[in-house]
Amino acid sequence: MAAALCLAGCGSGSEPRAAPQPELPHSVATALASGSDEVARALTAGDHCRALSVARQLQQETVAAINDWQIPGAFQEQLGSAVADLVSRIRCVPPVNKHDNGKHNGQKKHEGND
Amino acid sequence: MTELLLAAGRYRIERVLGRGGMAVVYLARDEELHRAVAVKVLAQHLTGDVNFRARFLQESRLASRLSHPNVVHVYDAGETEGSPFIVMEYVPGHTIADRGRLTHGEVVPLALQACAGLQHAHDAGLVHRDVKPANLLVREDDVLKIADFGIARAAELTRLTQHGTVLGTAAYVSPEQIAGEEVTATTDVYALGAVVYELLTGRPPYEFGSLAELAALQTGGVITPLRDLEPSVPEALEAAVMHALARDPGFRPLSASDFAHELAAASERPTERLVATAVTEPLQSRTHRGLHWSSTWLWILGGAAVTAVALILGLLEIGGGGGSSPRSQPVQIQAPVRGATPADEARNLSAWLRAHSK
Repeated sequence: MAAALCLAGCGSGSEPRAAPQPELPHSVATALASGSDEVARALTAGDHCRALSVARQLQQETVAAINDWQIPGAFQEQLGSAVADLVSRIRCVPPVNKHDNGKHNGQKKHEGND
Repeated sequence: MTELLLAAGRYRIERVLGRGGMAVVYLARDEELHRAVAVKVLAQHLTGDVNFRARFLQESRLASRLSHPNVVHVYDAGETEGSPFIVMEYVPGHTIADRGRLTHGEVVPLALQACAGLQHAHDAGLVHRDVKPANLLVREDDVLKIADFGIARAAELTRLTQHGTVLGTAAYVSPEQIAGEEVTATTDVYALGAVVYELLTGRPPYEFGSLAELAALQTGGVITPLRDLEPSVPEALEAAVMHALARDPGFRPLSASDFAHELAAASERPTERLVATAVTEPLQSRTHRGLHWSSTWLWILGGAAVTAVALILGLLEIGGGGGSSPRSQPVQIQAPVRGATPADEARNLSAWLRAHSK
């Protein structure tokens, strides 16, 4: 109660009384940020499929961090939404295999029963 | 899907019972025991996470230890073609959500059964973590069964990643869960209190548009007294429900069993059979509970008065305020800027993460 009264009555009149903002644990934020950087690099390089793969990994790590209570509640929705949005915006269109004209000597087409 | 067989043909899928963000639930036939079962198969998009799959099965196996008339029994768990599944008791009927708004005479017997199921699980060391109307199944003979015990922890993932469902389920999430703090048995008591509140009034304790807003309300908001919304509710029942909804877990009923006693005592027409089912623990001292309850209300009233004074002082100092809500300040986190391209968005997300880290 004293804290509530002090919040209202203490301090100079012109300063806003912003409550302390929650913060993300440094290690978790850094790890997720690195993943996001990797997504950006892959997209810039034009490797959208790799970007999507990394983004999905980032989403799994985000979900895992939330599930392990490493992400404060105030960040959970924003972070989860942002990562989900990022994943949904990346389109991986596998390149056409120029050598796929029957001339390659790779694995023979499987015949017979599985 | 109608021909799908699971676990080497033991379970024959018959039809879809429901779809959620995390899983699909099928009605199936146990070909060995010749009985109907419900089979929950993890959604395809979640099967890629090895840890998640392992947790899904692990939690399901923990839940299979529970055996109580008010808990959906987990019979079996396994994996087929990379998709984990759990086999559960099939409960013909509806969820409590389908019943809509109920009278207190209807709510209390159902809530007592929920308390009994929760107490059994808590005694076994399991906290549900996701008590909500959709997880409270009611048979046609009014027997209530709590579903999704054990996989609730896994379901938390879904609530936070599936848009559209997140706000619907968050209404029953306790303040300590929102804050990422320790979850205990009283977390389930809070959630059940929120369900009872909604069943009686037609709306959840807090009305909100985002998780951040909910967190702000849980931190500084006030729950509208139940009888303001539904005057027919007995005062003692209102007190019992508001007790369960105490912000501080330490001010709630100490157990689901305690909550059951308060509900039963508050009900004008307690159902003796159900009360007997619900009471699994010896009564604590009435004097102790009475004192605890009284002190809770003193704290709530005192806190509300101080908050009101603080808000008035704050608004005076700001100079009128212009209608902005001071209580929304503490947890409003600006979302990352979306970005014109996905690459921009990824960079913005990275910058946002670093800017908000310690």
